[in-house]
Amino acid sequence: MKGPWIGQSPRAGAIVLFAATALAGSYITLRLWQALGGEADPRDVLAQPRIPFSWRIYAALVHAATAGAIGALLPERLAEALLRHAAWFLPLLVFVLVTLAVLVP
Amino acid sequence: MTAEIFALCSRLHGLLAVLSLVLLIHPIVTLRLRRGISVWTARTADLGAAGVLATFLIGWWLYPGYRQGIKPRLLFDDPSATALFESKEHLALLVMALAVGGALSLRLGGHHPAVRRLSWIMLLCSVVVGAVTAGMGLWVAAAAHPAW
Repeated sequence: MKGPWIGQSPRAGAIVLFAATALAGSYITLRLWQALGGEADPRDVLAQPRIPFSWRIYAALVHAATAGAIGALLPERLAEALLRHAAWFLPLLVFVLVTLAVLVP
Repeated sequence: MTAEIFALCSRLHGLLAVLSLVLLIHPIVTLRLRRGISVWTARTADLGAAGVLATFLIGWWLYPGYRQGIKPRLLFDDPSATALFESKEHLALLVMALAVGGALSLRLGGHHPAVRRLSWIMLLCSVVVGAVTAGMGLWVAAAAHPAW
């Protein structure tokens, strides 16, 4: 069986890493920002004109695209060095984001 | 959206989530145990990530219906379940970002050892957080069951 098409560019990995962490990080940060600014009364949920969940996703997608574009500018060697640190950095970031997501619903 | 369509789609959403997470276990295991990347490792990563993305999009599409039809009643009956639901939505976005990122990085740079490891970490984190998210979803579904 012919092997799958698989690339080997560290820069591509950096683009994906930047975009994915920016998407999740931006979304959670926006939620925290909203919580710090004061919550609407939950009983008024139907009166709110916009759905905060949706606009947070739209904003996070813009941030993810921007971060991915920044990742594309990295030299291959720097991207490779960054990816080596992802082994400890990424699980730590995921743990922090999960904790925040649970603490600030 | 009718209550029947909502109920059908929310069950499809849950089933697809579990199926996608189970699919993602295959690339996690094979990336760890094998030196190369087989056709099925790449395919199951792609299919699992596509399933997680579809699950997230269905959930996003259902959210306004939940907000209008279920949340007001659930806030009255069981406020902790509504908080759990919102946390579940936050975690779902994280799972989607990790699963799609893991599959994409495997395709675009999987032959490089650092990118391959990144892909493995992303897929593993997505399955672990995804299992927690699925458990929260089950809990909320059980709490909200009589609402519609």
